[in-house]
Amino acid sequence: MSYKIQLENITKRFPGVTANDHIHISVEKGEIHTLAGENGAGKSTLMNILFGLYQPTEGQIYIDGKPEVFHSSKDSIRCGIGMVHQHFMLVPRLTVTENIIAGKEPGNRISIDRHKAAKEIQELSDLYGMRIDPYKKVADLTVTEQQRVEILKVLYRRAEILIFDEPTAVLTPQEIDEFCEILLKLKEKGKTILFISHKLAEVFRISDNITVIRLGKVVGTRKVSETTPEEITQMMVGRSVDLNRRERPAFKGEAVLELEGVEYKKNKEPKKLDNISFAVHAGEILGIAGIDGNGQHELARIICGLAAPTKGQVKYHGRDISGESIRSRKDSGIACIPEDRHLEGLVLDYSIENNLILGQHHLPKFKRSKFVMDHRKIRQNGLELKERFDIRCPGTDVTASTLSGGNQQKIIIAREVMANPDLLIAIQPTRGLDVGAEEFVHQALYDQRNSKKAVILISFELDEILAISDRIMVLHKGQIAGIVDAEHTTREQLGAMMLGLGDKNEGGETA
Amino acid sequence: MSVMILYLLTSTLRNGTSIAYTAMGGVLSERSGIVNIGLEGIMTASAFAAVVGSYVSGSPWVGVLAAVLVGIAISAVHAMVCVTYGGNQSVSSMALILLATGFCGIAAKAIFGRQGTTEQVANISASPVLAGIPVIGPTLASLSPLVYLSFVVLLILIYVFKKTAFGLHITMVGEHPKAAETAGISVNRVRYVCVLLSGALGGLGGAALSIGQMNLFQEGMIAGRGYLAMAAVIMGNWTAAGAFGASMFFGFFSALQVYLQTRPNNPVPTEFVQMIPYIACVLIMLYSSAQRSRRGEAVSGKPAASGKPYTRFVQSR
Repeated sequence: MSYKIQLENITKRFPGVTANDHIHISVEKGEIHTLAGENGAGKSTLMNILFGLYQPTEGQIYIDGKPEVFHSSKDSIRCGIGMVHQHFMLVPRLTVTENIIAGKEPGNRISIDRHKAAKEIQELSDLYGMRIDPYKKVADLTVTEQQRVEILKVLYRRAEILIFDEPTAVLTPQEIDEFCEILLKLKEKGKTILFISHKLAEVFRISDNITVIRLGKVVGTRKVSETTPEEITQMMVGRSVDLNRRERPAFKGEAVLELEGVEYKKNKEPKKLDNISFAVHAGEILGIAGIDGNGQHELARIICGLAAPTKGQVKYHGRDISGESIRSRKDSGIACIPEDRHLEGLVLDYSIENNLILGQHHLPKFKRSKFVMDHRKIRQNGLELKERFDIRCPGTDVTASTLSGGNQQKIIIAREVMANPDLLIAIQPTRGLDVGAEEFVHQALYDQRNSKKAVILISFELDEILAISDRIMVLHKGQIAGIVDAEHTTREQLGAMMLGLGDKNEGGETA
Repeated sequence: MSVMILYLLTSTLRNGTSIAYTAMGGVLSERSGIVNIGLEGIMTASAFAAVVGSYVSGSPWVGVLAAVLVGIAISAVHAMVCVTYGGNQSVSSMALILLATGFCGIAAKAIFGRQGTTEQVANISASPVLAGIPVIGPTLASLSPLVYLSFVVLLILIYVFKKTAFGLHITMVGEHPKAAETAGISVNRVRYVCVLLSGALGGLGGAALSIGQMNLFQEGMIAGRGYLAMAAVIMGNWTAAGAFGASMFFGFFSALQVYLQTRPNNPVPTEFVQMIPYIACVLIMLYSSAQRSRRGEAVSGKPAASGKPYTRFVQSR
């Protein structure tokens, strides 16, 4: 029998790197086939080849048994292939309809028939249960809605094969549920789906087969019914990974950071933070849980110095720092792993070694004199941290933008940990990372804790919060819904508190 | 009084047209993501080419054609540097300005044997066809056909951006070239077409000045009109109609300047009067950017990918 898609011997070499090494994959019609692998394993490259954005160095693509050569995405679109990219390919200023039809407009050369297009889009979205207003501007849409526009863009081009490049990385757990529904509906209508992901929970929920890629090579293909998440993880990382809760030495030192009655509000908006009082101690990890948008963002900004509280005090080692600059906070030992590593964590066009000194660049150890940087020491520092934190890169002089997400995150962690902070705030530090990198981040947080430093972990992943934290604080509508002991708390209890149903201070606050 | 208003009105159109053509060209190019600071150079060279064309053939329309062709030729160089090779857009356009200005000075000397100016040639500063229309006929006839053509171009541009697939492609390419490419649109093709068209419009702008408004070329006659056109693009929020309107605004200040100069017993020295359009430009830009920053960045119509070279997926990682 013939396969819908057959990739034979696909090899792609970039200068200095072999991204794909003799890859064979076969996918049947109507199948959801997952490509799993670590960040930078070569999954996206392979999919970009199938979509015609890259040309393979070697190898052959067969669609419906026929050999095909794609010089550009035009060719692959003609073959019924569509791709939903990890970073949305949408123009915020244009409407949903305009974004979808661009490049394949209905009507004649002289004018586009926008209403006909909008009607067709409406019908398509109804067919797959995706609510969307075709006349809305993309800038006004939520992330989920934008993703639907991407999917509709592909369906509008009559794609039979849909490639999804890490579609769930940007979604919240609830949104992922909805997304899975849509995928199953697409499968029901006979579409063939290639799904790139390393979040194994949803991979096992929807896929038929899983092909694991590591370091550009296929490790193997498994039927979902005949494998386990543990086996896939082992194949992906090349060793077993343990993200479960670990035994830890009991230690509790003095309070490092104390917030007293902190309130934050902007202009006439409702209060984002209301009467927040808690303490973080040396040698503990305080997890902050809550549904996105309940004040976590503002809290982190206030501690780091990016925003000032409208009321209350932020005390660090007993001293009120609410008026202090970011630099003086950093110099006195507060470090931050920011939420958006591209926006706030890195200068993507800078070299790795320069990124590794950001925020510490003013320290004498990187300077020759008051005004002159010492590039030899910066290079030295870069190489040391590359070794110590296993940052995989061709050299420390390449730009940070060329690295995978996991390695980019390692740069930030290396930099922040190197400062030997008394307080480390990590905001969603494992977002978009694969299990191997996730374990690495967790280890870094444990290490901080075990060397008797204070750590705050803000995350939307309950499993992560439960596994890592010593105590957990739940935020709900800008207020503390409770602070509990992590060891004796269940997911359900946390969930109830996140929805504002729990009792306050149930687990015995000791601060 | 009404004489003055009528004078200012026609003079505004006369002075604004050359800026308006160029500004509309700027809109086309910038909307596709290519910044063209070189408009000044395109105007200079094409103003000169228009005079040469008219001089050699005796027909001013041949001059217009020559201006358009020269405009296209210069912008082709810009397109090649910026689109094909991803070069720096500002550097490329500055080079073109210097080249065009220098070349015109030398060529004027070579062809006409004079320093810094050409001979007077046949021009098209009036539209005698319209003289027959009652009441307003004489006024309409006193304006160049190029003035009327600019309105036609404006309407075409508005239509292209609003209705056609190509207009949508331009926006897409200028905002998010990668999105355009994955949708099967050729980024480079769209950018080439836009840059070449902007050259053609800049050519019309140059011709509108040298043989639409005057009948000769002088060194320095463009006097920053190309830059005013760029300012008009920004003031007009990167739309054809906005840029056109802004250009006419500048045209009005030029008209005012000329009017004040020609008045007898003007107490203000001419040098100061001549500054009016440029001071107006600075003040208006100051005002409009202050307005925009008050309303927040999102309102700006500046194309997101403007000025950024695009390399296709194939070459990047």
